[in-house]
Amino acid sequence: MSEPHSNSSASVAEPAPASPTLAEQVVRSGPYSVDVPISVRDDMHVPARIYADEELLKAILQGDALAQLVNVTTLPGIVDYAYGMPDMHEGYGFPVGGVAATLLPDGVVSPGGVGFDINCGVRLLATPFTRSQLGDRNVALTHEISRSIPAGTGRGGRLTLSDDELERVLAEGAEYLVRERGFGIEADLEHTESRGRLQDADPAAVSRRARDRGAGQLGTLGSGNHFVEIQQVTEVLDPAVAAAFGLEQGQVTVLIHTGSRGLGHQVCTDYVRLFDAKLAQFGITLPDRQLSCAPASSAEGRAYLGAMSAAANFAWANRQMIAFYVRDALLRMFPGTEPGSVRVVYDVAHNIAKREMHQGRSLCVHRKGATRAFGPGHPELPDEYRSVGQPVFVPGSMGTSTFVMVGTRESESRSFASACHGAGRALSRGAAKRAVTGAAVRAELEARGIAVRCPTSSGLAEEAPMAYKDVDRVALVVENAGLARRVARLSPIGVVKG
Amino acid sequence: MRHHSAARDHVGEWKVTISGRSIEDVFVATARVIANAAGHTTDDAPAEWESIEVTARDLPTLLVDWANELLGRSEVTGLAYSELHTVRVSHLNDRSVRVSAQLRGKPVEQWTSPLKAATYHALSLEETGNEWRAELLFDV
Repeated sequence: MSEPHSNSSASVAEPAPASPTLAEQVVRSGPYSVDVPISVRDDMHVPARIYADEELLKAILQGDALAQLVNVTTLPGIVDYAYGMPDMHEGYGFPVGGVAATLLPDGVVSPGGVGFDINCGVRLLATPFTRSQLGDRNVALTHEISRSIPAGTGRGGRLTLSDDELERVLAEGAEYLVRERGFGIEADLEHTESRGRLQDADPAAVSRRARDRGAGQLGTLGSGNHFVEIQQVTEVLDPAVAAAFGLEQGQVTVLIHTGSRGLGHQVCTDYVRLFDAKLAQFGITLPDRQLSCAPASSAEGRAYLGAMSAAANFAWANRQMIAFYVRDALLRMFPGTEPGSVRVVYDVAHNIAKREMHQGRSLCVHRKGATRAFGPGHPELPDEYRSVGQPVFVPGSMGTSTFVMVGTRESESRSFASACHGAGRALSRGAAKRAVTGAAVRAELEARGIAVRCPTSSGLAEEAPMAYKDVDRVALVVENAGLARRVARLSPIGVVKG
Repeated sequence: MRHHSAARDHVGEWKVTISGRSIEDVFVATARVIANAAGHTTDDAPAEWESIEVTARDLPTLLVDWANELLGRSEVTGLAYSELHTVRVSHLNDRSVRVSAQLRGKPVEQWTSPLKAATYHALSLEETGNEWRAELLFDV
């Protein structure tokens, strides 16, 4: 057989062009936003939108966060967009820094869109003291707060609740601790999201195991990135709003970051497991099992919402209790201080699903690593904030700033009135520990005059400043995207880590 | 060594790779990962032996549910469950799978565990050659 001629009529087929990656299909939709169009994948119900500048977007695109956000767009009943906040990073199921809303009554609720730490959130206290009045007592105060609050995981709260008491906490949240037990004042509730109590909480939907885990944990920090931070107001960026919030230059503040501890973790575990087993029954297929969900109107969906709300109430009670311990520590250091003079500026959740009205629609808004950010005029805001908007807190890492921000009217149409919750991780815990030692982090912070209390060195390394994104950039992008505006910068002078 | 575990980088959480010669070895290794993360245990004698049984629709789901049962039980009892015996993975008539074991633990002196829960995200469990290998992501 003769060899075929190698001529123009016998050409070699061109290799098929490689399919574009997800990152390559991102389309700029504004100076501070990019979209993934709905045409990118057949199973998307809505597009995805990420609020980021080029620098933050580069970091977001390095991991799987974008793919996770696109997976969120497949949730039944989702409306408008799946939103990614500027601090978005890879999580499991939902990315951390993700916001998604489903149309009620039959849109789904997804425990993965809330997270295991239900109502992890932050509470900011404003004290009547200035930095100069505190002097070098920031070290003693940090030590005193550390002694007052059990930090690590496991058990060991100062308060162990009976079954009946836990039932009240699950049903009534921070309200129970303030009105029945005297662990706070009425003004604390007025300055807490939902007054520290979701009315639709259903303690009966919380399992025995979750209750057993939570009974000894009220008033405890937990580990990981949970902390109590003593700060000073180092910069006022919006004097009018800062005045409305009761913040002024040089003032000492205290920020509490914690959530629902083992009780919340167990509620999420229980319902992810339940929903995962029932997906076929609901006729739902998902690209990621950790997105498991149920129609909010189903018996299972209602049960989860009731349990989630009960766990959220536990978290608000937890922060109320820790605030009590902080007040107590301040009173011991400054005898004669009026307890009410240590004010709650605000307390806000950043892992939660809420029934909210947006543009005439009843929605289930999932915020996982994202904060509600109501603008001026919203009826849910306390009287003294209604004309300016809701406080939003954006903590950086240890040793870096926290931004106090205020919600905008524009955020309603741009993100279901949501903003970011922090700086977002840039490095894994393993990578952080390889890059820096806990001792080095402690030395650096103490050299800058920041007192540090942490149960383990590895815990410090994992939460080192370089493990997180630049909070200044994140806050600026949030502002430029119209989601919230910067009001004040708070700088740390003492850190108690869980 | 019958089983082996190693932590892998994941920005948000804690990813663990576990391998073993048998499927039971993987479950034992998972229990020991969780026990080791709990923290330093006291010198007290171990607590009494306890029974544990978890059922799920398939092996990967069973592994996650096993891990979560251990995390929750450990937090309630204050024990790090590092000793296991009579570990048995069985397939039931309705095609579900079950793991049962006897386990006991020692009191944890200072809790250091960052683990909140095991997740189904990017979960894998498979037998290749003469080894079982699992990847499991924990929320921390």
